[in-house]
Amino acid sequence: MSESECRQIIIEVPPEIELSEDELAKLVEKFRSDIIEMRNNSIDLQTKMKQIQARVRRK
Amino acid sequence: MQICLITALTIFDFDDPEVTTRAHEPLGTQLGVLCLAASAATHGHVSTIIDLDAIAASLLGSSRKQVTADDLFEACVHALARADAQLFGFSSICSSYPLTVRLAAEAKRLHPQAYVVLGGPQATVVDTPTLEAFPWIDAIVRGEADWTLLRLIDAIDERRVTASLEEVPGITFHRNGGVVRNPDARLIANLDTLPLPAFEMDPQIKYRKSVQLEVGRGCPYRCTFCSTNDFFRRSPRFKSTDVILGQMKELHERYGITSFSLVHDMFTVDRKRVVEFAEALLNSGDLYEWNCSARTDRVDDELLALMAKSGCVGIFFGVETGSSRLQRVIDKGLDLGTAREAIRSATAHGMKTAVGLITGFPEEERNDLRDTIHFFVQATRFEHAEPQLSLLAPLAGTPIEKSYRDLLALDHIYSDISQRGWREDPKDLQLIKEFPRVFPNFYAVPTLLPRRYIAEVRDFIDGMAFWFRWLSITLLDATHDLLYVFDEWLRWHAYRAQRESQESKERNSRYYCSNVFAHDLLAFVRESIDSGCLPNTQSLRNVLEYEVALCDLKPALTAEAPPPGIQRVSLKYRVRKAEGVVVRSFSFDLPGLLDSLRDREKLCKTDNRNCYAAIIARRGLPIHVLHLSEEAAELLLLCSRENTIDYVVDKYCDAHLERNNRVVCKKAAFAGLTRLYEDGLLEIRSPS
Repeated sequence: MSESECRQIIIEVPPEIELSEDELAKLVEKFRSDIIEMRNNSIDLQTKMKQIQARVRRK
Repeated sequence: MQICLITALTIFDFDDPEVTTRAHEPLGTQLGVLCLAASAATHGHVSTIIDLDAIAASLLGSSRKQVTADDLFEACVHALARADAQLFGFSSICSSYPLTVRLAAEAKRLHPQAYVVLGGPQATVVDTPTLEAFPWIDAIVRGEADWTLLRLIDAIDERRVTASLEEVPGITFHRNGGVVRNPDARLIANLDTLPLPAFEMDPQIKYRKSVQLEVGRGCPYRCTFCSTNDFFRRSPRFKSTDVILGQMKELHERYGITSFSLVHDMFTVDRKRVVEFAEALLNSGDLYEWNCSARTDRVDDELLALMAKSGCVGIFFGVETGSSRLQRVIDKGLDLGTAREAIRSATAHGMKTAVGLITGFPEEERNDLRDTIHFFVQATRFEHAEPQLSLLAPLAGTPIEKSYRDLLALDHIYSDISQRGWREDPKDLQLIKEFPRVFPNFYAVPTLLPRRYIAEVRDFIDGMAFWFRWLSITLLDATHDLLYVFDEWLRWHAYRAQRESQESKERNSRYYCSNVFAHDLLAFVRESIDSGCLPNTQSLRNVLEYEVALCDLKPALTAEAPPPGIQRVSLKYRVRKAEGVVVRSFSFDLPGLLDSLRDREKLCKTDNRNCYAAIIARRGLPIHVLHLSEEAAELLLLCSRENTIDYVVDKYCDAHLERNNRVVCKKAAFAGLTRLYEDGLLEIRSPS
């Protein structure tokens, strides 16, 4: 994600629950999500994309 | 002399303006006419260009009613009528040649004193039959026209006649009711002497990021289906690295172009030159993207790595057939193991790798067809590979067309190489029927398997791999015979029609592009596993479950992800799953399964452990599938309604208190919400 797209929330929590940067870094790892697939043809565009593909075949 | 150059139409579909304009947009005005305009300018001739694709795009963009082929024809004629020129020069390709011929007639009718000339790849190979059939065409320029056109102009320009037509090599022309064919022109040995194409004549050039740039001509190979040798001939010639880099730089400085489609039939035929070019580009410090065509036996991993490093982001490999036997028959002669390795290597270096395959060769047997569709599906394992399967078109002048010229039949099953859109234009069809020697590419060569069967196999495999990449690979792994799968598919269709007492759905190319086919295919696989027609393997069931999950998605109406930026929020803020996000659990190791399907020859056994995935589907954007940790999935599911942060954190802690104290749990939950928000999976709203 580029810097301009970066989104972040800071939750205002009671002092006893405040997280140090180290703690936060360790804990967020447990919640990480990895992209395992990206399909360039979302379901609503598939028919159109398919048609485009047919058009641009080499001559 | 005032000359008017007319491009060859490459787009034909008027049903969906968005499809047509998106397909057209990146290409720009055709390179061939830009080259000729530049050459003509060096001799003081003034050119105008009529870009037929641009006319079609503009018509589609401005019209509220359905645009027809007749509308386009009228618009093109209107453009011809407005042009003021002494010479009209039409470029040509096989798919739009009937239209070119009809427009040439209109040019002659509108400007009877003007000279009407055809050139380009198609006119070059059917010069004599074209002139015999169509008296309104004065001459055809064969092969590369940069110099020949200038000589032709000199021969017809009354003000400066320096030679007769008979003295202009490389042209075929009408003389006294007959057709005269002069000897071929000499090839342009030093391509560096050619001027930069007249990109300034492309009205959209300022808005383009990408253009085609010619880097050389000629291919030394002699594949039996290919017509390129007739046009640029067999001696490969190259522009020097200095000239290519200089032109790239100039186009960047003038128009901001950063991406170049380097045009040469066989750019990598001379390894040393490619290395020299890539190294020079790297040393120049210019960060351009580029792509090219190559043979798989004319690259290696080291070369591909260097190409990628210097900005090569795309490559086209013509593999043509997955059958070793046919590789020899069609004189392509590729080793398929080497081909597979080149595709793997190019994709590993991040290049978008198009893999061109052809079916419908006259000698193609069932085993050959099977090998080709298996090669196609195997190629989809690689992350950036894009296999294409085309039906053979007998291109005029090729060894195949010459061998079968007397046996060609018009069966109305068109190759996508000769694609003229979903609808046939009756006026084009009339010409095609009347003049088979001029338009052989619309005809069929005799085949051992029925052409309708081959064409439907093509549509089926293309559609299946496009919609369900993983299912295609798994079906291949499970059955080792995708033709068997196709035959079962035909039986299932017939059975379903009988069962539902209805006419069998028409299975044309359009059907195989539609999402109706996608849903039918999933039903077929599910029912065929149940009935024992397809193997009941764990992998196949797992992949089917995953593909169904993606196919059943209803994308969010908005294409918006949660907005970027930093938000400071209180515990009373409300959280919910972002629009378009679906959390799914699978009873198998999904990342492991996908990993084994990628880049591997054989499907590995996957664990039967549960896993969670977040699938993000937003209208008009790619689908993203994210593997979620158990904790992330649990927290995300708690955000299914518009609960407050406070509530979600409490609920999370209730479930985890046995293992941790409440403070630790709360800290984890807050960290988790932070992370899920950063990943675009959560939306946050103020309490009001």
